[in-house]
This record gives sequence, C-alpha cells and structure tokens, in this order.
Amino acid sequence: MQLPSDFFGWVGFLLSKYGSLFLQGTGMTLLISLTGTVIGFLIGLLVAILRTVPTTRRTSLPMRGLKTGMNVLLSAYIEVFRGTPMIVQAMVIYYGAMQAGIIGRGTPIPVVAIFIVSINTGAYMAEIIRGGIISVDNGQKEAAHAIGMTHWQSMVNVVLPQAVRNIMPSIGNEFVVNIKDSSVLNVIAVSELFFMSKSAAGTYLRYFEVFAITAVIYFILTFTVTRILRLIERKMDGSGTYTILGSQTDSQSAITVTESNKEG
Amino acid sequence: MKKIVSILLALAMLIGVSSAMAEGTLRVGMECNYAPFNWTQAEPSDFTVPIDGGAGYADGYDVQIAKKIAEGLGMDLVIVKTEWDGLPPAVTSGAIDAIIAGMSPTEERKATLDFTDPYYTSELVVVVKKDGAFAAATSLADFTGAAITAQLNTFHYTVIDQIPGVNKLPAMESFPAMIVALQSGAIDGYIAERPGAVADTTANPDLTFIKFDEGKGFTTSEADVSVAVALNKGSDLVAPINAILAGIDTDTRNQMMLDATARQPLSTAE
Amino acid sequence: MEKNPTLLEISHLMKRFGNHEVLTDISFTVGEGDVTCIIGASGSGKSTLLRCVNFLEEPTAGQILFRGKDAETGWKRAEYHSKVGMVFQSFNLFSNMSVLDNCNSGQMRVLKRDRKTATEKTMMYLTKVGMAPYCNARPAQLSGGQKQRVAIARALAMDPEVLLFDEPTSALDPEMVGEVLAVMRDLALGGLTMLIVTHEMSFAKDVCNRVIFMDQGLIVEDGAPGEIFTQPRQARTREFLSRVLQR
Repeated sequence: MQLPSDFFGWVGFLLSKYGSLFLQGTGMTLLISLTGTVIGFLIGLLVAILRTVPTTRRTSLPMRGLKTGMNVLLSAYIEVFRGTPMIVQAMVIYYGAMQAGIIGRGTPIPVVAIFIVSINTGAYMAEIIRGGIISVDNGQKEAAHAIGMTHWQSMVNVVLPQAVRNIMPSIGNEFVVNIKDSSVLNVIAVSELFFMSKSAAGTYLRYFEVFAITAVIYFILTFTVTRILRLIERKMDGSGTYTILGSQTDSQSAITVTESNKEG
Repeated sequence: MKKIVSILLALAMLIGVSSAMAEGTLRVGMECNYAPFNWTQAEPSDFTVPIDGGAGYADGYDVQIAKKIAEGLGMDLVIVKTEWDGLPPAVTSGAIDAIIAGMSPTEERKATLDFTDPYYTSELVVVVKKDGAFAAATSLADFTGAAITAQLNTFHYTVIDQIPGVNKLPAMESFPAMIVALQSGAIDGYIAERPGAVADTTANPDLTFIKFDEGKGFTTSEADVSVAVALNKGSDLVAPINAILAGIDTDTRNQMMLDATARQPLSTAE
Repeated sequence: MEKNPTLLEISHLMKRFGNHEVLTDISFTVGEGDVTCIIGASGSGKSTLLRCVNFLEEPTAGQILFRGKDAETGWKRAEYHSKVGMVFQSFNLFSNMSVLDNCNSGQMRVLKRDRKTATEKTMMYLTKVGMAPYCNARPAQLSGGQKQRVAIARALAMDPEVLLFDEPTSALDPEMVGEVLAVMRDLALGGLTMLIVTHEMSFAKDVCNRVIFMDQGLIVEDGAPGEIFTQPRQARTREFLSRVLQR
C-alpha cells in the first residue's frame, strides 16, 4: 500500500494505524476531565457553604476568629488557583510533591492529574456557585430559617438545589473547558488525546489530517456532555404537569393539570 | 472531600514507596513525537519498548540508545512519555532518571542539568519545495532573499542569520506546521536536522532537502548539533553512561539511525 | 382580656439599621389564645418587629422572652422556631420542592419526624387549608392564594404555639385575599395564638381580640378592636384610621 495522497485517504490511514491510541487518549481525557470536574464541583459546594456561614451576636470570639481565618484561607485558595495557569499548577504540584517525597514514582499519575483538575476546578466552581446562591431569592433562606433549619440544612435542602439549577449552563462550560484543558497535563506524562495527536502528527508529519480527527473527537466529547447536562437540567425542573388528587373513594376523579391550564 | 483526597494521596504514597523498592528500573523521559529519534506506535515489535501507562509503544534512535544504556547498567528500561516542557522538572524532581529526547547540551541547559557525551551528531539541512526556486541550491549564498524559518526555541532559528541577505520569518511551533507553510508557499524553506528532513520528505514527496558539503553549510558548535543524555545535577549515572556510549562508535550510530529511519511508520507503511 | 398564660414577652425592644432607628422602644406581651393585629403606616416598624421576634433581624437592644425563658439563650434554636412560626408576605415556599415536601421538610429535618408521621401531619393541615389535592404540585404551578395557604399549612405542620403573619395578604390579588383570610379566621377561632401584621382593617375588627397601632418605632395605642377602631384615644391613631378606612 502506498502512502495515501488525499485528505480522506490520510484520515482513514491515520485512524487505522493510530486508532487504538486515539481511543486510549480519549479515554484518559474523559476520565480525568469528568472525574476532576465532578470532584471540583463538590469542592466548590463545600467552599460555598463554608463561606456563607452567618455570625450572630451570640457567636463567641474564638468562633468568629475561626470563621475569619477560614474565610481568608478559602479566599486565598480561590485567588491562587484561579490566578495561575493549570499547566503551572500541574508541574508545581506533581514535581514539587515528588521532590518533597510526598509522592513517589509508583504513584499513579492519573490520580495526581485528577487531583490537580479537581482543585483547579473547585476554585472556579466556588465563585460560580456563589453567583448562583446570590441569584436565589433571599426569601427562601428566610423561610428555611423561620422553620428552624440550620445554615447547613438550609443550604443543602433549599438554597443549593436552586442555585445549582440556575448555574447548570456555567457547569456545562466548566466541563467543556476541562475536557479541552486537560491537554496541558501532558507535561506530567499524561497520555491524553492532544498528546496522542501530537504523536501521530510527529510520526506521520500530517498536520491537517491528524488535528481534523482530534477536533472531531473533542467536539463529540463536549457535545455529548452538554446534551447530558441539559437532560439533567430538565429533570431538575420536574414535570410540567401535576395530578390533582381525586377523592379517597374515586381515583378516577384525579385531574391532571398541565402548565398551560393552571389557574391564576 | 479534602479528607478523601489526602487518604488517596497517602495510599498513593504507600504504592510509591513499595515500587520504588524496585531498584533496578531506569526511567527515561522523552516525547515520543519526533521520528526518527523517538515516536509512538500502536503495535509492538522486536524493537519497541512499552510506554509507561500503557499508551502505545515507543521506538526510534533515542529508544535504541536508551535500551543499550539500560542493558549496560543492568537495569530495566521504562519509557515515560512526557511533553518537552515537563522533562527538566521531571528529572530534577526525581520522577525520571534521564532525558533521552534529542536534547542538545547547550550552556543554558547545563546550568540545571548534567549532560553525558553526545550520543548523536547531525548535520543541518534546509527543506525546500522540489519545484521551487531553491531546489538546486548548494551553498548558503544560494539562499539570499529566501524566506526561511525554523522551530521555536531551538538553535536552528539562530543559524538562519548565517545566510547572507536572508528573509528571516518568525519561528514556528512544530515541523508539521512548517511543512504546511512550505507547501502553501508561505515560506521558501525551513531548517531541519538531516534525519528529520529525511522523514519529512518521505511523507511529503513534493519536498526535498538541501545538504551542504563541508564548508558550504552552517557553522555550528559541537553542542548545538549534537544530542546527549540529560541527568539531574550531581547524578552518578554520568560516568557509567559515558562508558557505555564510548562503546558505540560512529559507524554503529549512523547505522542505528538508518535502521530507525527505515523502521519509522512512514517508511514502513505497508 | 382574660387571664391566660403569657407566651411572648417583649421588653424594650430596639432595632437600629446603621443610623436609622426603626424600633425605638417596644414592649408588650402576647397571651395564649390572643389574636393580635398590628397596624400602622409603612415604615412604622411593624415588619421589623415581627422579624426580630423570630430573629430574622437581630435586635440591637431589648429582650424577648418565650414562656418565661430568654428566646435567644434559653431555648434551643430548632425548638424555638418550631414553636414560633412565620408566614411571609411573599409566601417563600421552597421552589425546588413539591407542596408535600415543602410541608414535610421542616418536620423531618428540624423535628426529626419520620416520613410517615410527617406526611400524615402534612395531609391533615393541607386538608385544613383546602390544598390537599395539590400535594404533588410545585409552587410555580400554583396561584398566589394557593401558595399562601400552603405556606400556612407548612408553618402549622411544625405544631407552633404562636404563628406570626407578616402582611399575609398584601401580595395577593383581591379575589384571593378572601380564601386566605378565611383560613386565618378558622385558625383564630380554633384557639391558635396569632400575631398578625396587616392592612386588612375589617379582618382586624372581626377576628382579632387585640389591636396594636404602631408609628415610627413606637406603640402608640394598644387595646380591643372595638375601642381602637371606634374611639381611638391618640390623634395619630385617628389620623391613620381616617386615611385607611376611606377606601
């Protein structure tokens, strides 16, 4: 077989020779970005809850000191990890920890990579979630307070579910950003999709064809993730219809009300 | 959440400690993206070494040198595929033992890394279009007025100034990018090392490269056109590796390079 | 007024926001079974007073006693809030939950009731306010009057001893005011202790057994509705009533 001569010929050729490596790279990209984003989201939630703990005039001085200290630490965390590029964070964390003996050569690199993506994402998520919390009507928190819920309970049961629903588009953004930005992890020897593409391009010296394949793969990944998130959004909204219960004796008298014919 | 992360790290540390016990491993870092020095392929062969982490197999001149070194040191070879900018911190932090990645022992690099003796010395050529104005050039002067570029952050870019009256264009990121630029006419030629140029022109038969006879080509320092093994400052592997390299003479090296070039996926597309 | 146990005792309550003093010196008591209406012009501090009672605002000075114990220090927060419930002007139903879950959530999370007990209570109170068939609806799918009735049921499900109402019908369309006032009237007749901030003067006249008129952070007059509405003693009260009762 001669070397192919046209664009599609090369694409087919590259897929046949490098197909399994593209797949492996894609798998690694997905693993790191998905897991990292989810954990980052949880970190962001935790940070948001901690930062919004209220102080009343009854809060003791040591508690106030603790709260202020914690706020300072969390703010520093957010500023540092938003303010530095993830590629720098990756090198500093991985090679720094290696130098300090915190991790060893046998430490699975994907674990460290997920850790890096998580804390990086967490910093962004904390601010996104803070925006979502601000957008939730204050009355919701007041009603939760009036019923006797603690700060944690009102956040977890009332405020955060609504905040998260509001910020789903931003969360989708973070997923997409992470899928693409995971490529910088090749500096700590992660064989993700972009690094694999560089290998293919460097071996076969076909720029357009290789990166056309890569672009299509990235697009499929991000498109799928955003579609799934839209589904989750719709699920969070609940059904557009509800059933008015009929009387005890006659279930047939149940009426289903749809969004369009509700009263008032 | 932070608790879970620290537990994970602690576990990882345990795994790390236990496998560091496997003393006889030589971890070598390279990009595996630059045929015929080092590349990645999907299928194993008698010559390949599996890439750590399971993403393909590495082969190329650098891999073969690494094999000989590991054999000579009595250690198992592990190839850690890492992007170029991550290689120096990898070796200084101890994540890998050596860099065998077509890296030249420049003065700047010697500030942070120790280098062995060269394991390959190459010549600089200019890649041009076969039907272009410069296809018949034989000396640097023949390139007067040509639009020439080279790869970013390499000494290739500095030697362009040796061409009298050259039109030096901004450096470009990679060889595939320069091939595209050449084919589209954006540039008249780019600087490459001979093995790389052989690869480039095999993949793109509309290109050829100009090699210069003794005295008619670029003036370069030994450090610039050779590549050596980079190690952490103070590494005690420098002397043993030099001893092994001394046992591989120039003819053998040239043959190894020819073999690697013949083996690279482009040449063997069957 | 009959002699009945004092539930709430408010002494010299003062609330300042920055430089602005909203409550100057408020002192009164609420006895068991009292249905007290607080009336007054906007800005008189009525809502602030209510919000101080359940600590949505922190009083700058003064004391609130519930059943003789200090409301802030003598009672566990969760217990205090279940005993002193609140219904808001803007309903504030939890929009991420169904009507059923709205009423269950406080019971289950604060009072630690199990789902079965909570649901039974919820359905009982939803029936009482006439919203039982809508237990699966979400707040966004209900009208204002329906939402407020659910809000009342939600507060009742906590088995409160006092229920605070912060202008419960002010945000409703006129046709729906009636259904909410009917529910409130039922509760009053049933003996629930209520503290209501309202502009509905006829309701105040009919249902309350005590009216407090507030102006500029002070209680100006305090007495039975018969007295306050027909023979107000203070000039300011007369002024206010003449303005309001014109409509």
